[in-house]
Amino acid sequence: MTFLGIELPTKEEFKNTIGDIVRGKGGFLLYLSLLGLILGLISVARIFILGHGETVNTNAQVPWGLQIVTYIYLVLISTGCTFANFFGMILNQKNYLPLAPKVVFFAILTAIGGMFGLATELGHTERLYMWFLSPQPKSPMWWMSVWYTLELAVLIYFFIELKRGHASANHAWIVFIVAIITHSTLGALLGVVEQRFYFYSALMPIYFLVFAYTTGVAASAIIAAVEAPKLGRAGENLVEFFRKMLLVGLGLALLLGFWRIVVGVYGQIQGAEVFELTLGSQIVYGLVLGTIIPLILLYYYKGPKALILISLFIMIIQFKTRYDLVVGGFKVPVWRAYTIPEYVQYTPSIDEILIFIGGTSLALFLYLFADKLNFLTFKDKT
Amino acid sequence: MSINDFKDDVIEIMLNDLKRALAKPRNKRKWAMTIDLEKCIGCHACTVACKNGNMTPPGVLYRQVAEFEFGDYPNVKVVFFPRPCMQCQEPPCTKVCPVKATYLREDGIVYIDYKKCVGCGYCIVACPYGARARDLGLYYSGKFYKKTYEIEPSKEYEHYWARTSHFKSPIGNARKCHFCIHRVEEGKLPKCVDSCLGRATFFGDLNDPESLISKINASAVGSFKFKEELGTKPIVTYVVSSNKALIRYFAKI
Repeated sequence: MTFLGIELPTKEEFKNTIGDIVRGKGGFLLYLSLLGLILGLISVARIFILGHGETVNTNAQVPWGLQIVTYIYLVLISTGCTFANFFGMILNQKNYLPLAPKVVFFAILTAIGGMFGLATELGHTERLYMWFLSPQPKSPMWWMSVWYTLELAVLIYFFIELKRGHASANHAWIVFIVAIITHSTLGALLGVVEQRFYFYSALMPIYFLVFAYTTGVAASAIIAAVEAPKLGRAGENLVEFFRKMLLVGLGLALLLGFWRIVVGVYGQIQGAEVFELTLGSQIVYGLVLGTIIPLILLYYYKGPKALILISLFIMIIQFKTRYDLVVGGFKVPVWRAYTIPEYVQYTPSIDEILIFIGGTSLALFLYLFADKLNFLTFKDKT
Repeated sequence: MSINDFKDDVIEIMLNDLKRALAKPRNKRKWAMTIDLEKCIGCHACTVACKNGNMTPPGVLYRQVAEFEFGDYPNVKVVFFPRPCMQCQEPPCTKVCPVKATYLREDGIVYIDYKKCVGCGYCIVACPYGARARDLGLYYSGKFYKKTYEIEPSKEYEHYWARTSHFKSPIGNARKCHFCIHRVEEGKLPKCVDSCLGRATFFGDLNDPESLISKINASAVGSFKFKEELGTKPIVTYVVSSNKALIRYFAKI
């Protein structure tokens, strides 16, 4: 059966794949992600039935918690995957093309996974139609939604073109430009908030782009390293290509992370206190574990296994730093008194943690399932 | 002129001011609040009256009274700082709202349309005064044993809202002080003004030079607007009748 020129898996293929999964031949990661997805869905149900008050730990002092971190982190990966796809298509198209459907599909899934976090965070998800009925063009959040819808649309379009064997560098350019605008708008969403000194910066959109690149390329590098043995020479080339892309990303992240700390702590800006307060974790996670150690490791270890482990390490640390960025913005209250705590504490609830697990698992499970169905293969028809 | 120079009860004066203001069209009024920091005794009656009047759930506090330590040892005392919504005339919260659910009304009130709000929390992040909070759907009497007083309809923004359903109540929305505009438009004073034991809170129409609030603002020994350096143009004014040092102290918080 074909749809929009794409060959869809047959009923028989679906049956066989599901049969394999039922018989226990799905692979550890698939079952793990399925479990994570089920747990996430249970939390979604709990949030919608019991309400936010009973399930999440956000409050007036910390209005955004782990659900927003989940959203930011997953769309960061999504955008980064589109960057990896763009550079693959522009600089290394011949070797990269067989990998492209997997990277682009993962970008689509992580964007959807991000919505998992966002949708459960909103107080009234059912009123999303207000975005169209009552738009506010002054709000970065409104623009972010517009651009994300567009990004998702162009990603799906690119995937369709890939599957039809018609994808070109020009298509990759379109996705790349939309992704840059989209993700820098997300950075601006935090960057424009003058009252939160930890966020307020013209650098924030660029900061988001660089960290999206690093995280997304790390995710794409894992895909490349896993697929490398099946691709032979091209696989070896791709592992080296993604290793170099990651080195560039980590270098940029180090530079940007370092100067953000320096300007924050020594710039004598209003609100420098929050930078001093988070200095330890910024240095340990943001610089040392997030960039310097992966840089050194990537420089010395070059095989696919090393690339998988280092990329995984980068992704885990990037999650921690995104968490610190969002939650850190609320550490210092907007004003203080005897009766207002000096520093605001926040610990995510079990439901918030499960929403993160659910969002991540959604992307992972659907990716592994589609891969098992052989839906992510590339057929060159040019 | 000090507040002690007014012979009638200030509540009566302000109610008369309201009558005059309400006789004008909405766009000719500018509702404002003035708080005398020397008169506030920190009784929290305003906080309680506000909670009662607006039936706000746990975690939502429209009218907070913060306590501060003022002076150096041995001349130290506790001073109080009531913080309603500043009803900024350049509000940072309205610009970030992606669906225009919150906006500045022509009479100076920063309004929230509960039927439009998607509960994204962006306005809470953007407010420099911590005046906004999300209604998370909590109840003082517990989720499953709600007492009648927590779910019976209460008026806010011209409508009655019963906390019986997520969809037809402010649950999930951002909430904040609105100067009890539903009461004001019925000729009543905001709950916090009505209940103030020290008569420290004044309310009225700034466009009326004869209103008590205009006279208090004009005659204050010292006054300031909270975080006005941010360019938010808050409409709430803090005044003192004698101790200017208090103004210098609070202007820095």
